Amino acid sequence: MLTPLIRIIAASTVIATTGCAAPSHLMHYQRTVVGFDASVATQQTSGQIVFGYDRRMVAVVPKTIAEGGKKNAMSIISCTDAEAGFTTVRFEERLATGDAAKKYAAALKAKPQASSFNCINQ
Amino acid sequence: MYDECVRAVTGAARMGCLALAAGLPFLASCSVNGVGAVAAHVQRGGGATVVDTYSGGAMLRTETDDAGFGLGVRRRTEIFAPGAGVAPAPGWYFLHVPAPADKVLAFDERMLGLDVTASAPQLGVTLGLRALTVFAAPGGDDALDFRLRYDSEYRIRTTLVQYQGGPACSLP
Repeated sequence: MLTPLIRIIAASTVIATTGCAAPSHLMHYQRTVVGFDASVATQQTSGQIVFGYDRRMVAVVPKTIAEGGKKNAMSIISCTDAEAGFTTVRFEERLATGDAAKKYAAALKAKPQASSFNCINQ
Repeated sequence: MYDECVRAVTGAARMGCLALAAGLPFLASCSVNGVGAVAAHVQRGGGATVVDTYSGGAMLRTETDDAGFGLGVRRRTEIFAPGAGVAPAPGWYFLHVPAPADKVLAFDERMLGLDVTASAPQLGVTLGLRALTVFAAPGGDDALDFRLRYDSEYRIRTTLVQYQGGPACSLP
């Protein structure tokens, strides 16, 4: 009876240890499951097996990204307002990455009292 | 011994017939990469194109950002930013999904049934109900600056504001 479960766990472990390394993409999501679920996150070295109910709110920000053949720290500035019900979801996402995020950071450094990055509901 | 074997075989056959009868409606319909038993509703929200895709039965998907196999019913809403690609006209489409050529900015998905997912953010198998909402998934080298509002109950009210040039353009 336990054999299929052990196989799934073994498969999950293999995927988790071989398919996932350091995250390379920004990923921001919510995931809800009711029933059976066996999965691994592509941007993390983690897996899960669920019987029943599970909800996750996940934000994965890569530490480094490839830019022009070199590895640099990812520049990002973000605000999220999310409201998730059982079958509905509403959200507001304010996001800047790359050069835009660097400009916001520079503007904030130059004028700390002035908010150039309008967040949620402002 | 013989009677036990016959009973076991007929019992298994009965269960197989029941399973087949229950699964026939699903097996009768199928779709591959948005072609087949699908209906799509294209809407223009404020600054974004919103494509709802409804599919049922067996579903095979081989797109990079939507890969896997499913058996059941599914609704997937994809939000596209206006880009170089030609956006489809608003309205209902049947038997195929007229997805814009642009990259998906965010998506919201509901799946009921069995689904094997082979694309980000999570790979795996689900049997039951799954709700997945990806708020933003830019590539590591994408330079983006936007504000997106989405409500799954009022998808036509989706608004997307894209800022160009960073803080200088969004200072009050």
